[in-house]
Amino acid sequence: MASATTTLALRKPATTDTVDVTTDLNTPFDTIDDQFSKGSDVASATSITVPDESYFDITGTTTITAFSTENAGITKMVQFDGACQLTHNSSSFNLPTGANITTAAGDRALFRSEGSGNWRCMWFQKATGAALKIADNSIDSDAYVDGSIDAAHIAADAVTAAKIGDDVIDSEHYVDGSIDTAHLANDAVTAAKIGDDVIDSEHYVDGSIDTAHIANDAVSLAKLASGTDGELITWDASGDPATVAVGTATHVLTSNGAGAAPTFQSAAGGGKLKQHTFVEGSSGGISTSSDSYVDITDMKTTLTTTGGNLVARLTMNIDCDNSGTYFYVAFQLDAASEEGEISLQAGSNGETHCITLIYTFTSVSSAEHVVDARWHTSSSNSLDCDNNERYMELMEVST
Amino acid sequence: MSTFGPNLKQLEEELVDAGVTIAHGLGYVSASDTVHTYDAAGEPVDLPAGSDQVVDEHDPQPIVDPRIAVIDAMDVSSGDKTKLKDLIIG
Repeated sequence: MASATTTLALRKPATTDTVDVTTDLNTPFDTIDDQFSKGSDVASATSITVPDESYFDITGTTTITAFSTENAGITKMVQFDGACQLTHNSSSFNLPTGANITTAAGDRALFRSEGSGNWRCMWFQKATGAALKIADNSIDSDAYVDGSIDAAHIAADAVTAAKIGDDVIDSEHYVDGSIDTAHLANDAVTAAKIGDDVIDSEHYVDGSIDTAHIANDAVSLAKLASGTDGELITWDASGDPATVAVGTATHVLTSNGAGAAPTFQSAAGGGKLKQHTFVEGSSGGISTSSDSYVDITDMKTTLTTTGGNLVARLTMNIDCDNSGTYFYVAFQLDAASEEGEISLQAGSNGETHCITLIYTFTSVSSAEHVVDARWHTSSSNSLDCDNNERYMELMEVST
Repeated sequence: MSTFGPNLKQLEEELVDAGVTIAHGLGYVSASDTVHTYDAAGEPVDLPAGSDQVVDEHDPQPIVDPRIAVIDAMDVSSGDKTKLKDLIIG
């Protein structure tokens, strides 16, 4: 069989020519026959030695960079049986798209020799029917079936903000808990977006709640810090809250003038009443025949003083049983001798006297003091106080 | 004159007559209807032992103004006694 490199040298014979069957007929015919025959499969190799036949298969996966030299114009139809790479060379192995091609079984191509070992792939048809290459920016969305572009065909981070419609992303597209602080705009969380009764104090900066954010009358007694029993709240010279120290019992709150907190102090002079007690008869009528001072039933009272004067007052009705009878009434402080005595003489039997006795014990000590009202009669007589007609009061007054 | 209770001076004499020593007089409280005496400080104390019977048997007598008693003892007509008493009592 003639090689494809054999010059066909067809010419019109002259009438005088003789014909050599082998040279002049068989060889050209073999050459022509090759153009309609399939050659043997050729294993892929860096440089493929192309067969004479116009059509052959390339097997294997070795990268192919060249075809053997043929006359310019010779074409070869090739079918690839495996995956191998065709390496583009703009001169010797010129491929469509100007890029390397990785074949797949069933891919077909037509190569045309340009002489001197240079080949050009005229076309390349993938078995899948897919295009070898689509021109950049040439496919319009019309070419896609509606809804056919799946997630795998969208590059990561390819969907820009501009490609997302306004107000269309619902919360279901966010991973639970995925919206971090950086994706919340400043001041974007409005009061309406905060649940009721859910903000705990840990979310407030220490000391951040100012007066404007506390409602009027909202600070109840229970919300005030515990203090010392008996202290009062005031403001110091700096205008800060402060406490008035617990004072001594019976002391009174005293202003110290502008710029100074008040303090508890003993009531200043002026005869002010500091304490007062009052008792009245409760044992019904009483009598005595004693001619020395004895207690008047029920007429006893006690005061714990802070130092000062004690003023005692007794008012009672006294009946004298007999004319000429003297009666004596006085006060006794802490079982000492009677003081403030008064006496009267009855003019007749059963004569009633309403008496009032007032006496001041001066500068008594700071202590509990007992004051008794006492009475007695002159000898051989008796005194009565009908019903409960007797009253006594005791007052501590400032000196 | 007392409108209630015992005649204390009379009772005191009755107690003394019965041998009970009463050094500081007697006292009486109507609410409890009790008689007491006093200690040296003038504080009320219970009557000494042996007083109960005397107290129980006490029959208080009205106290008579000694001036009236003198007039009653005078040998004058009752009309004059009344006039004399009126001068005293009014």
